[in-house]
Amino acid sequence: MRIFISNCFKYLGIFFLICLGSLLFNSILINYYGYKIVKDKNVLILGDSHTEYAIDDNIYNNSINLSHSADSYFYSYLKIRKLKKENPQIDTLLLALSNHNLLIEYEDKWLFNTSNIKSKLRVYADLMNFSDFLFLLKANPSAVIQGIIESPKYSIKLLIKGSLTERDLGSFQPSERNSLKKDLEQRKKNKKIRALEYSLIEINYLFKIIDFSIKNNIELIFISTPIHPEYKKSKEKEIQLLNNFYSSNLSQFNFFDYSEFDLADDYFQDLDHLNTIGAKLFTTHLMKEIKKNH
Amino acid sequence: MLFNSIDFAIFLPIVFTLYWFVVQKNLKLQNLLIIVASYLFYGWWDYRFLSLIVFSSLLDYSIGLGLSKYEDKTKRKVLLLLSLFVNLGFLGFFKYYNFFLDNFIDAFSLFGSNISIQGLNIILPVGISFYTFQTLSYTIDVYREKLKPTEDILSFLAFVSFFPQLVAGPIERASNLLPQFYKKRRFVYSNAVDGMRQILWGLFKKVVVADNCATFANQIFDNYSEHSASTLVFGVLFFTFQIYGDFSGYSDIAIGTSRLFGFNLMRNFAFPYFSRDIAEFWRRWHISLSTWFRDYLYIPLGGSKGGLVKKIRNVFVIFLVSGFWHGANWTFIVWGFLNALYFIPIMLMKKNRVNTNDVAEGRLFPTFVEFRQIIFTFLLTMVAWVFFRAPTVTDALLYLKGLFSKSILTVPDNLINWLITLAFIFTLVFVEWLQRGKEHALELHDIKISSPLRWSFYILIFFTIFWYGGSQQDFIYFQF
Repeated sequence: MRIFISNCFKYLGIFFLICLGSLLFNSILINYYGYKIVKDKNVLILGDSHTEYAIDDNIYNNSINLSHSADSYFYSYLKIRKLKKENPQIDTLLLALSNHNLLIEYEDKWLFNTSNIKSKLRVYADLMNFSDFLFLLKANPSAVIQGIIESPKYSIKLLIKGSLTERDLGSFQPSERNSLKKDLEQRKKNKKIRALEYSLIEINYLFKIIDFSIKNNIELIFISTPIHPEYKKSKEKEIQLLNNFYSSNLSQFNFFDYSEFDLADDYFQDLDHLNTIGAKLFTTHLMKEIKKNH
Repeated sequence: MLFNSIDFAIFLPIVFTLYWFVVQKNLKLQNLLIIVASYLFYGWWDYRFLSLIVFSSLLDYSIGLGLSKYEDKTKRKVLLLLSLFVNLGFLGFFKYYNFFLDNFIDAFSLFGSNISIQGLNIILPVGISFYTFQTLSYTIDVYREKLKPTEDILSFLAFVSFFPQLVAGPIERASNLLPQFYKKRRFVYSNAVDGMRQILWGLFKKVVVADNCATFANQIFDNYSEHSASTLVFGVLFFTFQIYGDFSGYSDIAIGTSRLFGFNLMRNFAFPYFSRDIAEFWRRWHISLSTWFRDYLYIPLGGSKGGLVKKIRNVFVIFLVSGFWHGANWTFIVWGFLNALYFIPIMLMKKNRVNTNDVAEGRLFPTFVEFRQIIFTFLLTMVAWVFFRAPTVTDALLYLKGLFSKSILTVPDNLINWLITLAFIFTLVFVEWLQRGKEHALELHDIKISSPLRWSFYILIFFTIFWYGGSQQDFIYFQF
């Protein structure tokens, strides 16, 4: 019996050692190359898939877009905290702020959802300190454990790809997808209304980003990327809620609200994301607007 | 509680520790712990149905005692009938009430009279078909005087509710499992290690193979009219491995878990997809159910003795009942019927007991004839699985019709997305082929492999389960 139990513990020990070892391995690899970005890039773009697909940092060449699909403000906060520390030249932060970002539904969908934690933890673990880690662990322990177990897979991926600098922190994603028609039809059938309630956790992390930006002399600009008029029509109450929130809490910051930006259907990949040509057009326009404001 | 859940990963070590370290010196306390743990395990789904298990257990325990008191044949028969009536009555009510009602209404509407009777909103208690058959085996064996009735109520309650096999088998015979509760269990290191290996392989089959296959099988079966014939072929293939991985995986975990507690359960699957004919397939697939029907239904009906008509009737009865046992739907009955049709020619040619050994015994590769036989049997079972999986008989027929088109020669659109899952199926087939002479695929005690290599292999499987496990799905056989 003793041998059996000791072998079980040894087995589990080896298993978790491999997992923790690869977390460490990933972290060492990433830190070896660091989070340094090119010195002439002083604008950081963070957010979810809206900014990920809409702002082309190849055109907006003094910016770097590290937006990532389903990134909540918690992850954006981790990114700005680390990036600014290693890249003091960052003086402007463009942060996505759309009708859905603060909704309570997204707290569960993007922050505490098991598959999201699993996929984000292996990439963002290096950005976390103990309290960030504990925050996720308390909310969904099983997902965090699963995320740790996934880390050797990420190590293998990094090694196989040979691109050890790859951080998967996020980037601009050009997209040729076209599902606008399908989405428009679906929208007609499915008129699900989301609860008009904000997540206190997401608000808290949004304010952490704001505090961090103020303390570090970063100009914070909120941005809402173009959405299809049909989408806007169906989300009017959410947009109204966001506008109210902005006016009462964030009005000291610039808010480039392009939710009413006039674009033809050809520029959308779906109801709320731009395609490659849409991104090109929008980025060019955005650059001009930002310059105008400075 | 699902075997592939965090809940079970916490539950099992706790029960194991209490069992071997706290109550190990007292047999009654050990059995009591098994009962409490089993009721907790079952109650995790729906505690309301616990009363049903307790009632069935107490009834059959009392009937067993009654059978030991009476020698009068009529009284004994009445007691047996009471057990059959109550146990099958529960099963019939919960599982088949709405099915019979719907068919009754349909039958009347054929003759022009429309009757309107409201069906009941009945929830099927998990595992009812399994524990009902298990407890029935006790009363029947006691009635036949093949087994002495037990006076030890704790052993009996533990036998009926033993958590590793309570909800999806193997359906144990009282003569095999019950006596194991009378004796003090001994921890045998080699059995426990082998049990752990069997659990590991069971989890691989369930979480990696079955759950990934389930995603694709569901996508294809749910929209079969939109897919090419080649995609439909893959749809059946995925379901064929889903159901095998799911159910044999469950059995492996159940048997492995039991071995950790010092119990030996019967084998439930013996690499059925390597069968050379359908009779061999049925000796290797869901063995505990097939042998149950053989001993308590087929043989009492006369088995293969008697005239041609009687023989054929008996085969149809056993396969149709087996099909109906799986669910209250005509699809399962057709599935049973089809298997009877496959079986009868072999039986009539007296070739149903030709392939009783392992295929390619002592050789690595099968002969061409063996290979052809395996593929043919596999294709026959695949066709039958279409009925098992489809929601209605019409859907199954349309699905099969969809297979016969020119598009069978096209490359399926989603082939690239399926490659990883196909690789897992290949791994399963490869490992099981190499180990086909063993009790289970990870039985390694007579194979000389260095410890580091063996441990690396375990860790690789463990990681694969976590990395490539499909989205958690209930075990298919829970619904039966």
